[in-house]
Formats: sequence, structure tokens, C-alpha cells
Amino acid sequence: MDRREFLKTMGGVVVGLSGVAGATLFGKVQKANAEEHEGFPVCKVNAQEDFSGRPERLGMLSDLTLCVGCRSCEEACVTVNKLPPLSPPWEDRSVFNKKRRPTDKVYTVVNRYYVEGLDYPVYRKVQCFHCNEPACVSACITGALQKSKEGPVIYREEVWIGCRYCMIACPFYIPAYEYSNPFSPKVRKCIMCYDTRIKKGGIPACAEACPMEAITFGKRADLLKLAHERIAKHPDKYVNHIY
Amino acid sequence: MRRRKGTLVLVLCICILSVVYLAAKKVNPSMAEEVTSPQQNVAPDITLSYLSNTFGFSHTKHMGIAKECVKCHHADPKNPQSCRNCHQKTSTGRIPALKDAYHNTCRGCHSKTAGPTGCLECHHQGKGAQVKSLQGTGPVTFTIGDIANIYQPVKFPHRKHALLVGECTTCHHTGTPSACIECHQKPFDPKNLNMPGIKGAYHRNCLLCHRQAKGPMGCRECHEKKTESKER
Repeated sequence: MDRREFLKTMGGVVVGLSGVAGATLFGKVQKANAEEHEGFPVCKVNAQEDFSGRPERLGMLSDLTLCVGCRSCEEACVTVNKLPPLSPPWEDRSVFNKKRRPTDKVYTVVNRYYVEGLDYPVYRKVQCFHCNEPACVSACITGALQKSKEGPVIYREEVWIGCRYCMIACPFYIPAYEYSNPFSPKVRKCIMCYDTRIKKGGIPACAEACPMEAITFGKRADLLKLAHERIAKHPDKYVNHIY
Repeated sequence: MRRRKGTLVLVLCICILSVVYLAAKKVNPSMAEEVTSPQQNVAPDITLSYLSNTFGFSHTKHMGIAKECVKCHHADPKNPQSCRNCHQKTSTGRIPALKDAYHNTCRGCHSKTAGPTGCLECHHQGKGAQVKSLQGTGPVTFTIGDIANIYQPVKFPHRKHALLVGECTTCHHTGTPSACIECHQKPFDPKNLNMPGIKGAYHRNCLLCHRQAKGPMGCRECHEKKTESKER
């Protein structure tokens, strides 16, 4: 087998894997179709049919030109998710001296950046992006992580086994592990207030708390439109890209 | 001797008459003006109650510029009606509100003739400024109902800001502001994303300018916490 052929084969494997990943998106379907083969459960491997996703799905738009780094979103996040109080408290600006990533104690963190040419700092909220095609969902071997039909990437604790594949898969270092909980550790991340608010037609806590409305919530399609409009209106203020 | 007596009486009479005349003039000064005012029909310079006393509207000056009364008044210049007779506080049917009628007349012409169009060029200092919070020197305070138990009312020196930015439209959409809450909802409406919520509208207005102008940016600098409150 020469190098070219080897790569071809590997390519096939990758495609195959993504097919499995597609199937894991629909944990329930997987369960219903489970069959036995040589003693192991076999699932039907279906690639995700609707690749573009559901057009009505929700999302959050974070506008970095508006964020003033007040950490209201962090405070709202810990309050709604019944997490321990922020440490250091929200008023403590020293927290910006080092870059942080979401942990099992806070699913939303704000970092500060100094940008050349700007005489004020830029703040960036770090939180689950609720990707269109989430790598964590693809990697999850139990189907505990799911892309909900409303948009948020959610998890089901009852099928959690703690393999932490999602942590490896996520390119944004979002899922966090409860290392401090030795007996029943869980992986924790933002679920866009799915259970507490979105299901009831509400607005995620961080978006509601943001005084600048730097975090906006709505239909993903509407948000993209809004973002494009903002970029078009102030091309000098924005990088012409929606991340 | 007899001739001298006659002269003395004459001088005395003249003196008495002039004293009487001067005294009469002091009591009724219009006696003097009667002679000097050639245009008795012209309204004098007026100071509209809501315009600054120091920036009164000179009717005479405007007459000289406009030449014809109908440029500003509807008709019948000899018998001008009070604007209030038809133009009311709010627009009724096709008749615009008094405020709009005035503004359209003044600003409409000023924008063509390079006259002053800025809000504060007419409504600015003095005790007669129309906007209450532009009067006096102290700040105005806003009590935000939802958080009133945690925070003290926001102290906002409106007059200071108005004079600093010079234009109402820097912060308000139009020169004749209406209540923000009429359009900006609480919280924002996810179905109408182009309309920021009331919280976003306020904070963006203040903080985006403060960030540029190096004004206060900290939460506590506007929202002082009540001492007894332990909440955030």
C-alpha cells in the first residue's frame, strides 16, 4: 500500500465516522433501530439528512463592539444554573488579567483583549457556540449530547458515562469536567438555558442580563441578517466575518 | 422795574410748566414713545415663555428677513390668530401639533437660509428653557423600578450633557424626544431584533459615547448601590 492509497482508505474511514456521527445526532432513532449482531448492538448508520439544519432554530449573537466587560452575563449564568457564586465576584476587574475558559463552576466567561489601534479594550464572551454540526455531539458515544431542534446543544445526564470525548472533540474548549466531584462527575457546559427558559419561550439569562444587549437572542437566520446589516452599516467597526 | 417783574413772571411760568411736563413724562413714559414709533401695528420682539430669556425671538428682525407675513403666518396678517386656536398639544386630523407647527416653520426656513437649526440654539440656557431637566444646574434622577430596591436612582446631569454634545439628536432619535419605552421594550423582543430593548438602548447610548469620550464606564459610577442591600 503506497501513501496515496493509504490516505484514500483513511479518507473513507473519516467519511464513515462522520456517518456514525450523524446517526448519534438522533439518539432516539438509534435506540429504536438497535439490532443485535454477534452479541453487539448495531445501529443504522444514517448521515444527517437535513445538513443545513432547521431554519427556525435559535441562536445568540455576540457583538464584541458592544461588550463593555461588565460580567453581567457571568453573574446571570451562575444564578440561573444554580452554580456557586462567582469567584472573584463580578465587580473584581483583576479577573481579566488572565484568559479564562468556561469551567464546571461557570459556563460563561468574559475575557479582555487589547487591540492595536483601539484605545479601549475589547471584551469577548466565551461560551458554547451551539455549533451547527457540533463536534462534541459527533464524538459522544452514548448520544448524551444532542443538537436540539430549537438549536441549543444539550445533554442528557442519564446516559452520561464520563468518557470526556466531547472535551477532546470541542475545538473551543467548552465542555468542562467536574474534577472536584470524585464520585459522580459530570461534563458541564452552557445549554442556552434550554430547560429553564427556552422551552418556556424565554430568553437565555445572559442575553437578558446583558446591559448593552451585546448578546442578542433570536432565530439564527434573523441574527445572521442583523449581523450582516451591522457590518454593512459600520464596515470600519467590524471584521467582515461572522464567527 | 415793571418790565423786569414781567420777565420774572414769564421765567417762573416756564419753569413751572417744564417741571409739570417732566413729572408727567416720568409717570407715563409712553408719552415719549408715541412720537417715535412709526409702525404701530408691528408686534414687538417677543420672548416665548419656553425659549430662553437671553435668546428671545426677534420678530422685527424676522420681519425684515421674511418681508411677507404669510411666510410664517397662514393669512390675514392684520389680524393674526393665536397659533393655539387651531394647533393643539397633539395633532388633530390634518392640523399638526403646536410643537410641530412651530418647529416646522422655524427649522424649515432656517435649514434653507442657514439659520440656526440646532435644538439648543433656541432652547438652551436660562430659566425659560422648555425641557425641565435643562433648567437649573443640578442633575436629574431616574429611579429604575425593577432594581430600585438594590440601587439608588441614577443621577444624570442632563443639562451638562446637552451643552456638551450640543444636539439633542446625538442621544435622542429626533429633536422632539418622546418616551424611550414607547418603542424600546423590556426586555428586547427576539422577533424584532432591529429594535433594541430599553436596557440596551440606554446603555448603548451612554456607554458607547463614554468609551470614546473617556466618560465613566463602571457600573457603580451610575448605579450606586443602596447601602442596606446585599444583593448584586
